[in-house]
Amino acid sequence: MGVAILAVLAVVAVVGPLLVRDPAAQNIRDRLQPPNAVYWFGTDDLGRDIFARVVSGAPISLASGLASVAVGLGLGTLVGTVAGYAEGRTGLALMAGVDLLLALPAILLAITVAARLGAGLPAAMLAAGLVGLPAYARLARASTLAVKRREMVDAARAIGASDRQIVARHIVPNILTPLIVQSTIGVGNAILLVSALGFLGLGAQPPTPEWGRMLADAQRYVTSSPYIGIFPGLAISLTVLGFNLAGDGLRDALDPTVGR
Amino acid sequence: MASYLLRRLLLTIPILLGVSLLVFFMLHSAGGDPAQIMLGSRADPASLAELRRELGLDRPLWVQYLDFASGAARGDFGRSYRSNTPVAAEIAARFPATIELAVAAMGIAIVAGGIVGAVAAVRRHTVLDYLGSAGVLLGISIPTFWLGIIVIIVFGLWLRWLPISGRVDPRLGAAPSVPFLTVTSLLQGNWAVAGDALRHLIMPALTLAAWPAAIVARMTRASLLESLGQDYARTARGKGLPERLIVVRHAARNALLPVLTVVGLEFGTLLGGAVVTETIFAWPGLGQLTVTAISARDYQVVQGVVLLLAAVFVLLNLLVDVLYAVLDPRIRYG
Repeated sequence: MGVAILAVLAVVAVVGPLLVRDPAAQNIRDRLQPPNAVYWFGTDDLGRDIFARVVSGAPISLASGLASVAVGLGLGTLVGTVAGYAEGRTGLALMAGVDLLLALPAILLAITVAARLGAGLPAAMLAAGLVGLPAYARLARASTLAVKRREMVDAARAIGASDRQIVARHIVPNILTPLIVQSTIGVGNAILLVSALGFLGLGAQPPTPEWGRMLADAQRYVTSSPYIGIFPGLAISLTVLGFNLAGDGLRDALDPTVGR
Repeated sequence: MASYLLRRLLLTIPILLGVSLLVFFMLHSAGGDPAQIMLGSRADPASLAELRRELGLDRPLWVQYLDFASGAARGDFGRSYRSNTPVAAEIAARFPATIELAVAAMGIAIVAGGIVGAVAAVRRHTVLDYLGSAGVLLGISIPTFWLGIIVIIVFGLWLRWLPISGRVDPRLGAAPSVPFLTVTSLLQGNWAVAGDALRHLIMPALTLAAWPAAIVARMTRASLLESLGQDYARTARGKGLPERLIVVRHAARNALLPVLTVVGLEFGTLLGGAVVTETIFAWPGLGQLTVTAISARDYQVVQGVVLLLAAVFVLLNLLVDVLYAVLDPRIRYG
């Protein structure tokens, strides 16, 4: 089910923008039209086609979710693996830094980072990535601690492998499974966070057809033209649902301890 | 227990110091000259320099940080660049509204999430269980800000059951800045205001509750299922106790601990999530204050709010750990 939703989304994201009207084209004469045969999802206050904007927002949201997770997963795995492999003071210091990120509620950390970097989609993605980092770092550290005690690591060391080689060839490949499960669910959360920042005006800037930003603009017309806000939100919910379902499925398939 | 508590309390100091460092340096290196923001574009360079000196912005950053940190330790977060009022006063005026909203939302989340999770566990693999799981998935997938817009459309605009913004109808003469308006007016016997405040509270609280309710439901189900599979549950079943009593008397108590943990953690998240919910419903709390402050680059206010919420978050985690020991006699902290 989750994979099916994601497959449809991927197709929409890749092919969709080529087939719809220009999402930035303003047609003031047709402004604030409810859904009809010409404009399937209606038009917004500037007469832009909401269907075109929602479809064109798909690659933006998917890319922002994936990029955020890439940042969090990459940095988190690096920090967690080093902390787990080195242990001792280095490990403790690294994990203390990670725990610091956990002392702030996610949205506040994201707001602080986005405020520092200036409003924009890249800042929002980096912010969402940093919010996810502690989860990956902790998971990577715990798995590294378990894997490094295995005989294969001793064997690799005995034949003269360097620390870097051991980490890259033996440890990282063996800790990937839980990290992949976590990151699938993480994409959904990252998309929620990036769109929340867009909604607060700290993410994507106009005229980018980002779904969160579209909802912020729709809010002003909620009493007169409530339909403007329906479709971008539906799109976010479906996307996040897809990633959550796929993540759950993946965990059930890969983790034998999960009861069915 | 006392020494454990003391140690944990002491440990919060470096955490909060770290958070204050993080937040201060991030916001203060963000660019945007506060003096320029306060005086506007018409100010001449001499006035700008004068104001920078007055605000202490001409000093090295680390001196400014030490000043901020020592002030914050005494509850003084400096003055707002925008309104020139003490940040602590602005926070004090707004915090109760956020707490009221967050407590109402958490109450809803615990009751709704607890019931859904428990029913799903007891009626495992039935339609009720699957409906519960679907509800949980929707709860964690629907963005808060969209849910807010939807409930406004449905309950505020179509059905016209509830007011769509604010904290109380201004025509009733109650100041929206009264701390804990609903409870206060109830205690004063001011039914009109209490009723109106409650009606204003329902939609934002429901919106904010959706996410934690889903998390609580998921944890309750998992935790209760585990308890029901334990030996003592089998023994109780062997004694011929009815299933209802096994769930209520034996399993539920033991399933409580993990649920308590997520409630504690989610409450912190909830305070953060209030930023978005308050923006949608024009709820005059900390979240709305933060968003306005960010767009005005009033970083004094932003760092004050963030630091305060981080402190609450850290203390909540500590409280959860202490409650653990109180509720579970097997856990003893030395």
